[in-house]
Amino acid sequence: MAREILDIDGVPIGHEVFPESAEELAQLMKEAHGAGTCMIPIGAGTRLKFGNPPRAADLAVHTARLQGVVEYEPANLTVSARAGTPLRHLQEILRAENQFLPLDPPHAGRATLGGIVACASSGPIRFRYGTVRDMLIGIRVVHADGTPTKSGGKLVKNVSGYDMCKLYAGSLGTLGITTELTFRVHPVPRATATLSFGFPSPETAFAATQALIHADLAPDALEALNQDAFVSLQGDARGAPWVLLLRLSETEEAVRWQVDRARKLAAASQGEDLCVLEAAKSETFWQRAAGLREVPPGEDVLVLKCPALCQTAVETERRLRDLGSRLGARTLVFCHAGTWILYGRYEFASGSCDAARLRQGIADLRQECIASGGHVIVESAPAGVKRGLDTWGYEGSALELMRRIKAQFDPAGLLNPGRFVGGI
Amino acid sequence: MTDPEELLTYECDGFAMHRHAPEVVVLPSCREEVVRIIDLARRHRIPFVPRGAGTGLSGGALAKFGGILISLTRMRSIREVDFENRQAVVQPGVINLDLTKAASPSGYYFAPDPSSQMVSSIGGNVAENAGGPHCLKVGTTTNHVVCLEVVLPTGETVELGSRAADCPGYDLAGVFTGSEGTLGVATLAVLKLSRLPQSVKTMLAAFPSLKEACDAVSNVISRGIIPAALEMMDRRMIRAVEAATKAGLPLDAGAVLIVELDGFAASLPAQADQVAGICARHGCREFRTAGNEIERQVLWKGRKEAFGTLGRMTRDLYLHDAVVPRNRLSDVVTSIYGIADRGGVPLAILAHAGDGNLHPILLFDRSKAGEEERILGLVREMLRICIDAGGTLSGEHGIGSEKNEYMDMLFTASDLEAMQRLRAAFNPDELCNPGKILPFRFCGYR
Repeated sequence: MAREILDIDGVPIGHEVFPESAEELAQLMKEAHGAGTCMIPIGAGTRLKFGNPPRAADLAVHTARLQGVVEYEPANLTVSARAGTPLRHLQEILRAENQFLPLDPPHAGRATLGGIVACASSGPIRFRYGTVRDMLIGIRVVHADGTPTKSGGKLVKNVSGYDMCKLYAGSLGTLGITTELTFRVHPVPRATATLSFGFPSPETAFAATQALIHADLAPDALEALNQDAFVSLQGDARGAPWVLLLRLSETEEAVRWQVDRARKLAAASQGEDLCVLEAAKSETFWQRAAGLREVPPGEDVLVLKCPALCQTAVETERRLRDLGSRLGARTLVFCHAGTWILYGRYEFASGSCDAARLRQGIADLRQECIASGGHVIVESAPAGVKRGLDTWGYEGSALELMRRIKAQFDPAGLLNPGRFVGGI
Repeated sequence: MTDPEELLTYECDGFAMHRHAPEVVVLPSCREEVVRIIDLARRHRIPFVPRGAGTGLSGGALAKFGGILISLTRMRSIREVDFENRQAVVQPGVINLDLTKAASPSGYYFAPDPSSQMVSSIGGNVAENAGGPHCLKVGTTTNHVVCLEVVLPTGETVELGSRAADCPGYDLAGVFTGSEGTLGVATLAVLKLSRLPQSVKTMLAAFPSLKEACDAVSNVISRGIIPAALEMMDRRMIRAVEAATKAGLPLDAGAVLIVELDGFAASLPAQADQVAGICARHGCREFRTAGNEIERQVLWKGRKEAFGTLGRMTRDLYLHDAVVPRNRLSDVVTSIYGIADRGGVPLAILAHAGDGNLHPILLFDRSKAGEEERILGLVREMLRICIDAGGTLSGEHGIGSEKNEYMDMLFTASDLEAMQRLRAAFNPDELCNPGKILPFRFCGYR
């Protein structure tokens, strides 16, 4: 059950409801809509710091009681579950049939399916399996006025009508509240190995990543971390300024072959072989890697997500590091290498975070990153910093179109008002 | 182009049952020309329809209400192949296979491989969210679109998504893919390139009946083996293909499966043994592995040209497209045969069986009075069977003008209204490809 949540970024929550069925949720939303009540959908509440502060938060609509698997057909590799089902709970059920949903977002222990889809949360294994958009094949949504709709189905291939799953995935609850989701799932690979290599610099770690990707390997994930990030993960630094983690899954024979090949390739790219982790150990290790973006409530931490391109990854890393020096914060930089999403995590000593300086720092970073084709998204920020700060920084040409979509689906602007891009 | 005879070329796409010629065909060579055409159409309230190579199979590129047909075939340059980010930037008229040809010397390819890939264009593939035999493992076109430049029906040019991952905002590149030319005209596409597999093994398994082949398919998937492709042909299909291609298919078989495994050379032999074992348990009478690339190409040639080979057996064909959950294949196929038998219509079945995607093909003669209506009645019955089994109206051919009036079989009025709201945000005047996807009451040209 969700912990007590009193406010969203300082905007106090008026009332809370915990509907126990999709029908009850639809009825509550219909009433709220009639009264012009602003609604904040909440799953497990793990990512409430994501997005802009809401304009109002009259009613928190919790989906935590909409739980359980609705239909699981292992022979069809599809599963349907209610939105409030925790991912971990679903994985346990799939595991019994030797299948899994290839999502490894932060807060994987508590996060609900509905919340993960609304935020399009992902983790390191997106390199191989993609993100929510690539596995969500069916959805049930209740719209702002309480009208329930469905789209997609339990089919891995489906072009019957518009692909509404794509519209809702990552829409941060601004178009409707999800009640049920259907995913395509995957067989659990027979064997897994995790390798780690030390590098003298981010340039060398990134170059080795490219060498590994362009070779005939099929990694699940490549995660590059600076020393402070690796210390957070592992407890000791092993002396390397940068570490590249590589996860490989396949049949036993193919994993063995890839491990050999990866070691040779890494060695040829200045990589120092650190260790090979056993499957059992490697699972918790990768969970912690995905969790490097988690921020415990009440801590003064800034987390920035900076999608870049291969050619701009090195300069983006330098900018993230420079920002840390400028802010005087302990700076963890890590990267979904290959997907080239870099993260900067800035940990401030109590009371040392200067909001104005931080906003300016983000604005400067954003200007540089957008100019080179990237983005700077604030995933988490210390209390008070977000006022006057656009957490998304989207200045693209499709903003008006996005506003028209929002106006079509929620003309009164009652769902998560103001939290999404451009104040949607 | 306005010559009535030339316009006849454009009166239909690959779905020949619906025909309507446009008043004019324009062939823009750049985005600016597309913008000018759309501005002109808007000013005079003329409907316009984008068209790629015209190989679509549901009437998506049909000028249902006449007007302007915008053919994108002249915009066919591959602007950039960026191996560092594994992306390619292409204009919409680029032929699917040409992109793979450009990327494969460096070990990459464009994964979606519709049977039409030698002629169909990227713009059309994006519009239809094209599938193909290999989407079982690699997904359909939508899983390979990074971002798009689109001229909206309102005349605005927008970039949907970005080359860097996780562009903030709604996933509009995802929404646009599969929208069948009703949300605008894509003028540039950035696509994902995939690494060519290290090793490929292609096998042919012959079964006494279609039911046994279907059961083998379900069994392979549920054992955790995801082949690169898993294709099925029934007896009539086998005979047509064999007569045309001499691929050496067993003429006495009730059904054959083409199973392709790809991945690491180290793991393929064991997986192939597993597949052979499962097939044997389901009554497989003949199991062959292509010994080299030439033998592999022969097997695939038969499959990729299968639909065309039926042409010599009949005057008209109705190529049907439906999907069912993979564990329901066997029951559904039996019911579909029942419908065809009762209707006295010869039927051949071709299927991307691994996806549950069926292509029943009805053989008929349109010149016979009332025959077309009768065939459509049977098609509707078959769709009912698929939907009742948890399936859907189309897996890869699209809804277009073929199935838009069937959408009520699958969706409630509220479901369709939500889709219409999305469409209205892009295409408020309903000038862009009117009368497609949604039932006519939503999207007729007025």
